[in-house]
Amino acid sequence: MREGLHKIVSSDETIAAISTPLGRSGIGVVRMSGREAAAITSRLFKSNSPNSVLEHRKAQVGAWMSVTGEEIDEVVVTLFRGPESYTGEDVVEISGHGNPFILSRIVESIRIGGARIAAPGEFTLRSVAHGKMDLIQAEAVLEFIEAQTEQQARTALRQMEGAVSKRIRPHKDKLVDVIARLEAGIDFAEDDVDVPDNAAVVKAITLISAGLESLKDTFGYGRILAGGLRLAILGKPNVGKSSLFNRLVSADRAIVTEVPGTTRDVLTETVNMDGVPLRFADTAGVRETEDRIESIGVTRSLETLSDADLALVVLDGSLALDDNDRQVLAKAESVPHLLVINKSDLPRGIDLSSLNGSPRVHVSARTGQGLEDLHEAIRAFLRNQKTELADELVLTNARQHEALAKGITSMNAASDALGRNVPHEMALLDLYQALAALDELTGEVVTDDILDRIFATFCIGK
Amino acid sequence: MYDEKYDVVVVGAGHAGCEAAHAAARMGLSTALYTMNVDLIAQMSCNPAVGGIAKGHLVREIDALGGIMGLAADEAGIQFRLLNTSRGPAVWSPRAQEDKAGYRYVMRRLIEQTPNLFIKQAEVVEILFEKNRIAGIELLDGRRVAASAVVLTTGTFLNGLIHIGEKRFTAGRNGEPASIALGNSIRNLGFDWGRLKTGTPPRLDRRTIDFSVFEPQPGDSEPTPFSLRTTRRLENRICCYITHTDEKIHSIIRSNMHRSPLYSGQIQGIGPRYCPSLEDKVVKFRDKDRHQIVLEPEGIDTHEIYVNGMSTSLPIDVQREILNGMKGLESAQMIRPGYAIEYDFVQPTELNPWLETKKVEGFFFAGQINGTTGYEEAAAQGLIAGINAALKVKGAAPLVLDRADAYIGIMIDDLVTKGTNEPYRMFTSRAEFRLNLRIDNADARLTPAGRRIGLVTDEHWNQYLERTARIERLRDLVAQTKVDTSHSFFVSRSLQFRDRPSLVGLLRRPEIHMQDLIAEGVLATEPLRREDIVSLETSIKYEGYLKQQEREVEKLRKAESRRIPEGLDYASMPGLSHEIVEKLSRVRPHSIAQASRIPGITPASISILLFHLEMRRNRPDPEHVV
Repeated sequence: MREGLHKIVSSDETIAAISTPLGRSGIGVVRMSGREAAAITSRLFKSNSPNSVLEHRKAQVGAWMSVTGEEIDEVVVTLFRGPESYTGEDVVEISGHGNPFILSRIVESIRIGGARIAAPGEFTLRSVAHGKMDLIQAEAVLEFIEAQTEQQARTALRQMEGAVSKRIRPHKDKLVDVIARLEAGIDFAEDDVDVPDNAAVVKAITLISAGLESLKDTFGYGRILAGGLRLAILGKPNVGKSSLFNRLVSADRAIVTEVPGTTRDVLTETVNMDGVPLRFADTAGVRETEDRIESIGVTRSLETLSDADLALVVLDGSLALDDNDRQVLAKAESVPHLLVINKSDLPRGIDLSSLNGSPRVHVSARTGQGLEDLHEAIRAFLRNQKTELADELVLTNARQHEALAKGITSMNAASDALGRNVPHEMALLDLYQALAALDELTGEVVTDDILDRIFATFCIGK
Repeated sequence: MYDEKYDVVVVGAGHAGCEAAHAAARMGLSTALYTMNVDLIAQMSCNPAVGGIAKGHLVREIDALGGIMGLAADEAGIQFRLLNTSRGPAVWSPRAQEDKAGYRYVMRRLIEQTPNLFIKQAEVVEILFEKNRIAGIELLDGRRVAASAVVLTTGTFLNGLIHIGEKRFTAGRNGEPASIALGNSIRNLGFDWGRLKTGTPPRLDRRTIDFSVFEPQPGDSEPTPFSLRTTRRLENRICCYITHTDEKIHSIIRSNMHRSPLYSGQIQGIGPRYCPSLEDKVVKFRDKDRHQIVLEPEGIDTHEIYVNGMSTSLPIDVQREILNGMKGLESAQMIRPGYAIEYDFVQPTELNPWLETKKVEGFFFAGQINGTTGYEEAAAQGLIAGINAALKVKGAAPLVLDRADAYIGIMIDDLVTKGTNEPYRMFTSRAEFRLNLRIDNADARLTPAGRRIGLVTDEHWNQYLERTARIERLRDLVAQTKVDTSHSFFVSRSLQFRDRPSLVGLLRRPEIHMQDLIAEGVLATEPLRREDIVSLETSIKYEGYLKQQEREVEKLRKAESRRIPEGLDYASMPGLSHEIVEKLSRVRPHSIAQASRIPGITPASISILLFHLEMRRNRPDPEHVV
């Protein structure tokens, strides 16, 4: 019924995306194409040379700012005026540090500045549309999209089982319910259907949008931007986890926030490494225990582990591995992890050949020795895990964030309208837009969903 | 070889057939309308009413294009109501109770008055082809009639099977034979067939009903006609009555459920969810303690009363027990029982958006054979099929309305793009651009198109131009007028102004209504319909919503304008999955917009399709086209 149009990428909006494989090199490029590209750039880019203007094919060095005016990164910006550009439209290329979080933040600032996130292959589609590409090139792009589509399917599947769909679906379900009730009131005004009054509808919509609002910052892209990379420091008791934690968070003077753990046994602090927020969680020591309080702590440590992007498994380098270490290592198998062999200032007692193949770093939390190696290992982790799949994930997450924001805005507009007694058929415009946004998020669009719901809810028909 | 020859032959003279034949003939083609019984032309086989929410929109659109259902329904109407007036004008919809015999009479007169149109009583037993092109029809007596185009509007007659309790018998409608021979003839053509079910309630004798216990449902004090051409004042001549079932009735139904062919497995066809039988309602909505019943007279000169809400296929003795168990109907006499009917339909994905079959050139389908239900849905398709049959014979491009043009466009697009698995009915919620698809602007949306194809008569066209000018003048007046704030209208409402506001500014206020301004003499207008005045006011008050929708319409139009060439080989396109190729090859969409609406088509496959189209455009050399 309504699902068609948003499957078609519209060609008159300005689009943006990260256009280099993430983490493959030191430099990352964000590309923007469309009518607004130059205007958005002049709002967000502060050139180092005063009074400079954007010129065709002229690279400029300066700072890329967020819409609220903080500097995100030092970048090189080049404008290509259409038709002499990749897509045939005005294109701006922003080269920044090849760090996915910085690049994501640049894309996010552009989105807020008035562009939308590009769909897979969309830059190429535009260049084909403007006659900038020949058949051979275009076919190569097709193959690429095909591969990406498969990847998307895998991503979608993972998301289906995991966070996104599952968390969006109950909200979407409630939204369908609200729409179905309003529609039933219009289409079946002659049947005796109960339509809730506007106040009740507004209340229902407000609940849905509040639920989505709190979701918005808790997953995917939003979480990475807000919360950074989650690192869990894990180990049996007394291997030096807390000393390492203190070292890691105090060695860097750029402490961003200081968040006491919500429980006494998990302490979290966020520090900034090359613009990437690193969120370290110090956990209680993991070991077999009969003690009830301690076992609660152990459970929480394991929960923290399962939420983490990367675990730092701390081992005491001065002692041989014991069963508790082995238990910790077994638990850490399920997440990417680094082996941090502490107490490098003491004589070595650990048998390195008995460890698994994960990257290992020797440090001394007491002296600070090896700490730079640990940072480098974390950087390497960020770089290495960035396969194409991760590119797609960052992209997907950016779109999810955008869709969620759109959904919330539309829902708020609808409840606003209903509060002013705007006729239902008009307020429904906004509710359908919100639904389309959520459809984009869950990747499922069900034909005649609304009518199905009406017929399942109301006894229609005289 | 052929005994007769016509440009267009229409098979079936129900609501679809009448519009199809009228349109083709009015467009100048010699047209024959075949029916098994000329006395039952435009028979209303179910409820004695035309219009209703969304359906009233369809009738107004039929009228605006130059069709005749609106004129007939106004003339034979005996009670008129404009529905949904508690909401905005976009969802206002007219409905009228009809005198069934009167409707048949009026429609037959309109048909007979149409030049080039010939009514024929005969049973059509075979459709004739030459290769993949229509050639004509064959009649039961062996005569063969040649035609350049054939419109098939056979309703429920194809392999119709009526169920009343345990009894079943073949029939087209109550008391009329089914078209078995024709059904078999078409069945051989390899279309994708399905089976649907619909039903009708029992009819009662007015003299045996105690109306005093029911809630009367009168017509509007100011009746709204369907046709913008109807100028005479319409009159309400009857009243309907509302009552409800209760638990006692529900338990009668429950204890006889085993005798319902719906639940015994005897009925295979799928019925409409929005028009369930009473037994369905009781079973599926167990916690609902009552269901609405409306008693509607079938005409002025008859005692027959239609029991709206009691569609059923239960045995006659159970129907009687239910009826007599209701207050006011204790001694009601049944004139005819309710029944369910199963019939064949063709998946409408077999059709092009102009209702011509993809398999056979010159062969058009309209009405229930396409899986729809309702007189209005049938008439609207009949009109489009008739128009396009005529355009085909003339060698002109087909008329296809899009989803922003008309409800008619939405219905046909839904049918040909998605097919259907239950009888399809129009709803306003099917319309993405509902705010624009109003009854007050149906003429602005469609009459110019009707004129262009030669269906709108001179008289109709002049009426249209005059009305358009009246509305324009009111629009200008509103735009230019500064109001006199000392007028009693403002004084009595204690409305204060800093300076003299414009009328437009004033109408943006939620509490100011144009009808009040006119009634109290602030604003003088020429005679206009209530819906015109309210629509103009709404366009001022809710300008933002209309603009928001306008942007969506532009997107649609852009996507519709990206045509997909016919005969595109999807299987050879790299990047499309087998499932997507299968869907696209079945529907063969005509535009990117239509492709995007096919269920299960992914955004990625649309992008891939766009690639191929762009590549074809950039490289027209066929050797290089993928």
